[in-house]
Amino acid sequence: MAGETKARTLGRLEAALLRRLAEEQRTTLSVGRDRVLLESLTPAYAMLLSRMAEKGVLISLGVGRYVVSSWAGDSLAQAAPFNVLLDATLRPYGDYYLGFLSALIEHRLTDEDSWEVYVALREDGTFKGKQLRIDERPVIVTRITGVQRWVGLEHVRATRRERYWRSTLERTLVDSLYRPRLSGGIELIAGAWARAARRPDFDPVAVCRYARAVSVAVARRSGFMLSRLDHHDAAVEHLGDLRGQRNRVLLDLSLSYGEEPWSRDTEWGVTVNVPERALTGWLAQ
Amino acid sequence: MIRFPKTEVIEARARALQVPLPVIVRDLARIVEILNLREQGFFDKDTVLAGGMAMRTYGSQRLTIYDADLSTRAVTAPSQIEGLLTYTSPDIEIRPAPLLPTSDQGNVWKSDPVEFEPLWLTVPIEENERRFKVDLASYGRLEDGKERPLTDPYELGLWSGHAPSVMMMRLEEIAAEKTLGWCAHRLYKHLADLAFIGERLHDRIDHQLLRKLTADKLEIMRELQPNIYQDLRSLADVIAALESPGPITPAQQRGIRFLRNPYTPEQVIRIVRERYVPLLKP
Repeated sequence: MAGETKARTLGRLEAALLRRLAEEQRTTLSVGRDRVLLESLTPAYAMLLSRMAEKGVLISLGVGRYVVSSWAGDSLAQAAPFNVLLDATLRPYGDYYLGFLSALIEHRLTDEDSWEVYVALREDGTFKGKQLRIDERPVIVTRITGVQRWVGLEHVRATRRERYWRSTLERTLVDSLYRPRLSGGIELIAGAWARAARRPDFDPVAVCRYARAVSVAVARRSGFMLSRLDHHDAAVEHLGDLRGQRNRVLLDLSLSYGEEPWSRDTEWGVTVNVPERALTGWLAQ
Repeated sequence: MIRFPKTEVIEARARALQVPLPVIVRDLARIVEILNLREQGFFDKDTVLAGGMAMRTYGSQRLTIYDADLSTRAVTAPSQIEGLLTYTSPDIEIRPAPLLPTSDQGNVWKSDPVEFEPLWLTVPIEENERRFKVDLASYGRLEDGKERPLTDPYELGLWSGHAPSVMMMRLEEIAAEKTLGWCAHRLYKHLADLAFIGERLHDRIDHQLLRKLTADKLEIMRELQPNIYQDLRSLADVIAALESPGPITPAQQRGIRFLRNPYTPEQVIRIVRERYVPLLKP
């Protein structure tokens, strides 16, 4: 809800700062990134920012990050799109990307939506918790280990000048087999693969590349899914050397349907631990 | 069209329901689009609103967020319909993508994305959230539509008087489509909708018509998608699939949202077995 509108009398320095941000069409401000600008206005910039936050023309996101409020008393949602807030909040912690169920939704691979937001940070990210909140929405944080896994990301436009990091469509699919519990579960994941495979911009080669970067098990699951969705040739060409392995790889790592004597796909060595009738139906959406 | 709610009011509802604000705004844009089509005389007994948006007019509380499903048995020119989907007002602008066929048989058309500009809002919404999809199916419609008033799912005061009415797919026909939707595709949302019909609407269902529509649609679908329907040979197979739905996973449960009165999977399975399946039996 918008708070009560406050009287908005701006000092010279406050007006100058807002003007600079407006010229750059920005809605966020970071003490770390904008220190030179702030120091050029006043060495006492901390006091300036604090005063502006009190007046409601800046909304604090914590750790020296602010959102510019076009009208004093704006709520966070009125000040900036959610992903601008997300970027402003997460960037101080290091590299991040919006992924998993949130990226499946953004890529329109599901009709569902989620109040929770899912993001990945590098293992050396300075945020140590598992969850934070932005504008009341829970942000679920997972960590990605290994530099080779930090692939398949895109810098997406949120406003004319502001961007945020998100997994590409193909990386999002690969992540769904890597961290299925963060990706809405196997019904949603299978439906997402089916939708993606029909899209003209779908790149099965990129899927193979990212899957291989993540892990052999994920690559074998991806090979299985591509084969079920009429991209068998691409799967064999780019992941073919991983076929025929004997160790057990489960299709659904979240074990949604429990332990049963499930059938095994002999080509990819993937144990199809979901009911075949259901999988066929999901993939035919 | 509708009374466009103030941004602050939508924000408050979004927080109370824990539904992202752009989802509610998108839903309002879909409602405007439906009313726009109604104003232009698009709906009649042959051309109706279907799917989740139609289910809402029967009281369903399941959150449906992206598609507007239309169904027609009239011969239609897609290029004309594309023109009808365009809407401009001081509060909102709606611009459809070209209507394109999505099936080999050419009997399903979609406009994706339909983009909209929510001019009445004072909140910025990202471009990829200002979109929805319109599907137009021209196969398998068997019954005349019925006029029903639209609902105001988030209680935002959308209507100044009575809610406007739109031609909807008949309840029995919606139920028949959802029955096959579950049996063929195993999408839990369809099973949950059948539980709602079985519990709340069973006395409105014409049993004989439901059985006939389910059997007739099964025959049509077996012809259109033989691979998917190969183990659904008769109404008896359909009933068996409803009686033994198999386990519903926690993720499937989390995947569908009810604005109010949610069902648990145990309730869904029990209600379908005890209240809905009997409607399909002679």
